[in-house]
Amino acid sequence: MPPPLTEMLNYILRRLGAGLLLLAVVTAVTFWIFFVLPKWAGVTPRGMAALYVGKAPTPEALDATVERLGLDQPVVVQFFNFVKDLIFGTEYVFGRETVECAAPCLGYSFTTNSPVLEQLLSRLPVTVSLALGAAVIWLIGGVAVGVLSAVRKGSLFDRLAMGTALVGVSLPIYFTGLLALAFVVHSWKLLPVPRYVPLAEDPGAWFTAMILPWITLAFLHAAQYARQTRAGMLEVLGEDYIRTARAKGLSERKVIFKHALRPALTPILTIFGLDVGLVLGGAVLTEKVFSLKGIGAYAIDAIIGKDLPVVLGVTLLGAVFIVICNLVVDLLYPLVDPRVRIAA
Amino acid sequence: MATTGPVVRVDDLRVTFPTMDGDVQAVKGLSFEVPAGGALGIVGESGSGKSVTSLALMGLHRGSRAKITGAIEVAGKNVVTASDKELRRMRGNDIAMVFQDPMQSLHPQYTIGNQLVEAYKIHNPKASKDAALKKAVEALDRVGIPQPEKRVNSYPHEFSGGMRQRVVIAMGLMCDPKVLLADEPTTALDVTVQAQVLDLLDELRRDLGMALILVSHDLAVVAGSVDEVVVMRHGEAVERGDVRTVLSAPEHPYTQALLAAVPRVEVSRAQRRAQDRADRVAKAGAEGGGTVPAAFAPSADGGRGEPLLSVRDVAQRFKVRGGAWGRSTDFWAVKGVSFDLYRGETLGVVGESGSGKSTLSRTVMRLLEPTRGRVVFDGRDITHMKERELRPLRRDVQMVFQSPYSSLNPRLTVGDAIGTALRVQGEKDTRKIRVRVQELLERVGLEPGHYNRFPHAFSGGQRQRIAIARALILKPKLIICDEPVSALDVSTQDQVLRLLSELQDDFGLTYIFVAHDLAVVRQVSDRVLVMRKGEVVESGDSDSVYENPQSEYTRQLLAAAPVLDPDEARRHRAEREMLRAGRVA
Repeated sequence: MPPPLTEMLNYILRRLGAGLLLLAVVTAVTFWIFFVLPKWAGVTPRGMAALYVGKAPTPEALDATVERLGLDQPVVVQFFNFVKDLIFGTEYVFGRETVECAAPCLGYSFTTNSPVLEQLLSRLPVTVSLALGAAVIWLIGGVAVGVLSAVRKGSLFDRLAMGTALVGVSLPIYFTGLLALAFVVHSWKLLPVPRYVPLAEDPGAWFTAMILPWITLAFLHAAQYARQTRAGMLEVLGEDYIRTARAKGLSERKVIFKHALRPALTPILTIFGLDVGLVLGGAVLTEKVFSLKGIGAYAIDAIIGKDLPVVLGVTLLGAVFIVICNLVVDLLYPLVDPRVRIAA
Repeated sequence: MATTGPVVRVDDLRVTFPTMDGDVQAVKGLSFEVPAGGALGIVGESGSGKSVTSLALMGLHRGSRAKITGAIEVAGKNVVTASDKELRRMRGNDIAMVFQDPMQSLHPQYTIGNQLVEAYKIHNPKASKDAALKKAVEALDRVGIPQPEKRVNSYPHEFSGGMRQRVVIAMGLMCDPKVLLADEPTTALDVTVQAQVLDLLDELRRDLGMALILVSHDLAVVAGSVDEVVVMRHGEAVERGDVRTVLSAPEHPYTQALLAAVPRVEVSRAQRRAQDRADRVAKAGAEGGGTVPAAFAPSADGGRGEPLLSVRDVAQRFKVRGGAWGRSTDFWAVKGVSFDLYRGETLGVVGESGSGKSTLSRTVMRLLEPTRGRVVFDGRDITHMKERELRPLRRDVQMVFQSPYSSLNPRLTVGDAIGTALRVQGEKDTRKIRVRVQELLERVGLEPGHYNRFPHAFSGGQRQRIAIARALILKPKLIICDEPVSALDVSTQDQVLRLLSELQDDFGLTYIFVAHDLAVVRQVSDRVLVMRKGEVVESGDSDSVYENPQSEYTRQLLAAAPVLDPDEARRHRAEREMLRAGRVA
């Protein structure tokens, strides 16, 4: 029987509460890594400031930064300010100029001379395009191959597919990606050199630019999904309730797609949530290989350029995506599997 | 039912599975017929080919490697040669199947309504959803599910095992099949629930004019429900005939042995023991004057002395999570149980699932710390003893578990599995350990050469012997057997029970014997505790409890116990109907 509405609401609120709590913990841990850990390692406030201010600062600029970021304050005060900026936003004053850093203020990047969030948001569409497109491909592709492999266990298709999957999980993106670029784009000239175009501007160009990165990123994940789906399907196909379904006189197609696939997909949903969250936080290698200016590429540039506020911002954003995706999965779970206890 | 000719006809059925070691013939030339509205029992122990036969009747071997020859006709259609499509049209429509494990045979992610409607719509594609749903509610009502209009929207996990089996049966009824094929439909169920399900099958068969094929390992389950019975062994029918004839005057030695092995609830402990001892003496005599140790008499005079184990008002509570916001509620698995156990005695603990009998045995063994009450073992209060203090006492109390398949570590050789206990208790001399273990293996009916084998090389009965040897190695004073024979075939069960009784004679062991099977408990126990929902409903000398039960529940249990005599089984059924009618009125 479907659970009563209040119980459902209770469940959703509890999952939401748990998600928020997790975010708070992630924030605290990130803060600890970026502000407390260096202090313990003996980095002085001025040394810290040097990491935040950019290249070759003057001593006065350093002192100003220490002052502005409150790096000489006690940790508790620093954390309070950090959280306050996150929730309420803040303003940075540079001489006569005032830069506003709106609500979830992740800090100010001196390398790009702008608030970190602004930069991240401008790059988000690229990463979201990449992540969602690839996710659709790897989910559908991986599951389809997995199901076919399980149903035709031991056949030539199964062996070929699982062999390819093994290769797929073993090969790194910078290998498959570069190979794809070299052949598809440069040798065979099937596609133009990928250059990101916003979807709203020109859907066709957006699609042709993204198709290769999608396939490359999806290949890696699809391989894993195919193997998982196959294993799950084989297990479910051995269950008693599948025999019951057959004994009813159901066609093999119904047995597989209605009765076997759903339980086999349930665990896939969990890893799918995690993977999408992970990729949304920046598919570093794919973005770099295909010169996409997404969040992952930005993070790498920031790490190389020692742009600490950006690294911090990307870390927090990545955590937010993972928490959100897991929350969505948690909320979907009772719909997929009624045995998940809403009341617990 | 004016149909002429049998509704199911099997002629010279052979099922062969090709394996790496050559073909295995699971069924070798089986033939039988079931007339319309008739009932046939197929009985056999594990490996007899009975389940292979029932799957073959449904054509469920399609797609596997099994090779099937011979003829199977169901409602005039040949299952062996039919096309896949014809076969699907037949399944569920002409012949429906009820499986062994109701916990596993319903899809966990769809409502039972969905699953019932689906069963109807496959064979009646033109039927409207409402009509199918109405049919589903009717079927649930027919099998005795309360509030069917509401429960049709429930998921399988919201039902108990017995109720789930009713749902599976309802699913079978959706298309008014001519034959209902039930493969061990009650094996996973409690005694009283088993009786209810068997009664239901019998009633449905009479009311709806269906033929029933009842497959079971237990002759007593089949006795009261069928007209004809086929006894199978190693893929062959050793005996076939009218159920009364086969059960009262079996011709084949295997059927005779099988019947002799079935524990009977009317046989007392004293009778069984006398029989076992006589058999043993006869056997020893035949083998040439081997000495039979004199029966161990626990101080023979009835002055029992100090009890070995004294349990007073023991209660066990578990915290169950699941309240709102992670609040936990208390669940009392055992609520105040007291008994004394004297040396050389066997105490039987009977109860259905959830009665707290396993928890009680764990508490007595101090695997759990009692929430309340007192446990005194061998003159020492062990109620709240710390693990370190308990360790020397651990060797005096050993346990034999239910499943011989999961209670032995598959990666340890038999010798190691048995010898480990000695090592844990401080024995260092490996050769000594080996000699002790090999002696013991011989004592429990295995060979000393089995020392280096792994558990997978043994059958269920042999594994249970290994488990017994493992319990015996430390020469314990008390052995707790938790359902030691319920996973075994009838004849193996008989052998293991004999072994336990011999060991008791030889070593003066004291047993606590926990089981759900009333007949088994009666035959091994001097005294009995009948448990229900954590409480002792009745206790006392086993003969008086069985012959003159005082509590309503014990009476119900006894009325539900399957019996071998078909006429008596039917009398019991009528009695149960009266009891139920009385309760409704």
